[in-house]
Amino acid sequence: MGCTLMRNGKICGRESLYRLLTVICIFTFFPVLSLTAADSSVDAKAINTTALQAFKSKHAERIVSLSPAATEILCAVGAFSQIAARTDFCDYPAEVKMLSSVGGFDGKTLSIEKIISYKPDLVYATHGMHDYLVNTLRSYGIQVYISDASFVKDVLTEIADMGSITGHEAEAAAVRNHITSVLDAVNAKIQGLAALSVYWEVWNSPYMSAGKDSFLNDLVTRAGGSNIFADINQAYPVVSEETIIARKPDVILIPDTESVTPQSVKTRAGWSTIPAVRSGRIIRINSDVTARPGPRISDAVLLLAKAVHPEISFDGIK
Amino acid sequence: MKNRYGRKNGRYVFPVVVLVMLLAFSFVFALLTGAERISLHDVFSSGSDTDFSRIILLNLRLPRAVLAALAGVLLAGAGAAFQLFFRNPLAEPGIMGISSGAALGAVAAGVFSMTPVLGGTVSPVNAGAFCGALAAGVLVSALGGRRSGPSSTVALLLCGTALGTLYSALTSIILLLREKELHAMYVWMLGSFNGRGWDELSFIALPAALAVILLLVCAVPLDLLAGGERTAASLGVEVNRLRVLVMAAGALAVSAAVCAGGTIGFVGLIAPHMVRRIYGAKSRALIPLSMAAGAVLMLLSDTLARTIAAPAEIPVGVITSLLGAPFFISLIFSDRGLRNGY
Amino acid sequence: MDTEKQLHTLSVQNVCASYGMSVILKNLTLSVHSGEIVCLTGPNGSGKSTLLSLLAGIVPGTLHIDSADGMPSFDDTPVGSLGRKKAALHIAYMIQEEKSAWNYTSRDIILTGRYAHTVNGVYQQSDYDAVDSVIAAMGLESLADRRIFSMSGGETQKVRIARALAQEPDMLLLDEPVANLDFGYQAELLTFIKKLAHEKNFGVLASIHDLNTASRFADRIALLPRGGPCITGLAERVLTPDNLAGVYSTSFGVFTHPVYGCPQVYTI
Repeated sequence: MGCTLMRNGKICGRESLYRLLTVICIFTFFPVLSLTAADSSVDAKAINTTALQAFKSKHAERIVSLSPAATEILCAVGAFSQIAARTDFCDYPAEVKMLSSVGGFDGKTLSIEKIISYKPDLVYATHGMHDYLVNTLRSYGIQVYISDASFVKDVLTEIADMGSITGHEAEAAAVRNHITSVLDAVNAKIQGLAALSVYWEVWNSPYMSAGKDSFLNDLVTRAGGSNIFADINQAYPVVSEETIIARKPDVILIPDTESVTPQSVKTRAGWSTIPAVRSGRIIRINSDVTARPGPRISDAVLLLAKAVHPEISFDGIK
Repeated sequence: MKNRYGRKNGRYVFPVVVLVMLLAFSFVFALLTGAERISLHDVFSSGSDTDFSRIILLNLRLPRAVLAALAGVLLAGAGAAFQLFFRNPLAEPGIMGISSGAALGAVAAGVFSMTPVLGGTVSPVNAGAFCGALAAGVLVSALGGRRSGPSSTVALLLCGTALGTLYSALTSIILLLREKELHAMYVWMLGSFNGRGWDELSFIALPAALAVILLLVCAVPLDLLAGGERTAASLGVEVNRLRVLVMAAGALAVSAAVCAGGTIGFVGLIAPHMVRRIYGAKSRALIPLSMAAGAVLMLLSDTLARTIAAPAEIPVGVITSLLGAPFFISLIFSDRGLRNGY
Repeated sequence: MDTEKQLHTLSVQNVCASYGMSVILKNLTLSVHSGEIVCLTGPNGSGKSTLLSLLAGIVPGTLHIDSADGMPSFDDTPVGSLGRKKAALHIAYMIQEEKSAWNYTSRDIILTGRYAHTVNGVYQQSDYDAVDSVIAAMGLESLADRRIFSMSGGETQKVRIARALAQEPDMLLLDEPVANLDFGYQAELLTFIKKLAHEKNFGVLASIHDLNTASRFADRIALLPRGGPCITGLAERVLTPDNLAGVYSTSFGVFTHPVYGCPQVYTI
């Protein structure tokens, strides 16, 4: 080792210049690369409008659904027979198991060839997961509908759109009415009550919760709760334990995995002063129901409302 | 006659004092800084155990700071030891595939959902990381340590690299099959001390202590390896025994560190370079000085990770990389660095 | 002056060694005694380095020792059974080429020669004193605090010899110790080592490429032909035109050095 270009302990001027150029190249290469590579920002609104236009007269007959929520929506509006394929994770309602699968949920494991092999006229995708497939599919003349549900009202819009695309406007309207009526009924019951602060633990190692841009946040609000991390812009941020304790949630929601139990939450160091821990209001939530922005969101909101306000009877609403 | 080594103490006392002061400062800084404001006055004057400031300081920040410092010590010590052993300035703790093994263990445990180990004190993910790292260390030593002599070192490196790649591939496969946990495991692998505390500390205390002792024992013989294995042997080093010691120390250190904070990169690579850059190649003292530097680096990184985006937290591995990359590049331009032989 | 002048012998008897198919040493017998300088010389590839490493007990794994009546032994104890630290107290072995991975100071490097004398690697004041005295004796004060990357090949060589001397061994095995040095310093260094060896009573086996240098400083010469037994003895006996022709396949003439009286050779 040892630099052979050293003279009197100083590096030669030219070497210095080459090194500087190398560093500049390194630092500009990656940003430029990422700019050119990123065609991931597709305009969901425009694409969805195009799809709606395309199926105004002739309805979609062969739909490839790329998410469990999408499948549920299609079935709820009565378009089961119009589904050509679903993903491995689509399991509700039970009939969908009979349909063949295109593979996983994540855009990275999906094969475009597999999707196209079903000769779809519409692909029902999710924003953030399937963006990179969109342009390719459209270049084959296949319409794409992109689901981007951050709020409950987005889901309602989606159901209406699907009703229009599949020719089941009436059923879609019925589903929407049902959902809306449940939400209104719940809202009526919790009207006037102070919102209880809720900490929704999405994962425990590290602590992950739901932020402003997440669907879970909207569900909590409609159930009469107030998400303690509604001020964070990310969808699923890692959150500070200090802040959890500082914000004193009244209710803690935990995922239904084996590694986290209400008991294990109670024993966490420093959590004993949290109102939720003291009153024992640590509730396990079925993540299948709550994580899917589909027709069962009314069930999800009801579930949450019962958890957040156990003192209120929500009988009669379903 | 004035003994030239009368200045020996001067050569070593100064860097040690500086590092100790830096360490103390970083530790106090870590205790006082956080997502939430606490009042020191409350901590000391309040008799109540449920006082907020007290809870935050004693239950959250203190164990987390100790854990972060310890992880820094372990990673930096292992990094320095590997650099000395492989006579390669680019060696770092993950070089033997041990961190990849840790990630594999963590993902496997987290995804196949074992019940919490030790009565719920340590999450299965962390315990899986520890076991994965240890298993990887044993495997690479068994496979790569067959030959003796200089070819053994090469065999170790090749084995470690190959196995590390294998573990990464297996990890990816598991994550693809269980996409539900994908996001959470990805975040785990970026490294974070979020939610870690006294439980994790008690779990790793013994292996960490053992690793530190072994690393310090190796410090002087590793110096003698500078001229090659044959020279070291001629000076009195049992190279085969040293190899076993270094591998054991490294595996233990990385296992404990990964269990503490996930796979955090760069610290093990940079800390020895920082010491060398500031103090020149330091015979005998590289490992302990690197340990101190690593602790400082990790403490500062973790403090930054949990405060700059509060109340959200950034994975500490991101911070260490952001700090590490420019430092490394600055080495290219440093005259002093070049003179010290980079 | 040492009151106890223990006499030691490092020897090997009738050893045959090979790397795979090629035989390097055949029926080799050699011994070095305390207080004597033996210069090992011979053509390239005759196995000088192999022989030195064999005597030091640090052989590469690929060297196959076929047979030996007497394995390399230090005072009747096989070198291989001594254990590295113990062996290092008795035998110092300097290899031909060494590149330091790190930019240590000369002083630090010389200090590592004292490792064998330490308990658990902790250097004592006596170790520091020993280093200082070696530096003083070899005249290396100007190099002592300089870092190794900034030093020339010759200077590095001196540091390595100093490190070997700091080991205070009973036997010194040197592989081409003066190869990179100026002629003037070659003579100076070899004289110094010879004087020290006689004074401290340690044995030296040094492989020296140049026949004339070897002749000048050796108490005994060991001439090693390729694949053949060693011809050992006083320089006058060994460096004869016949022996040299047999070993180097070239004609040599021999004359006596006008000042030192030792045989000097020239090619014809």
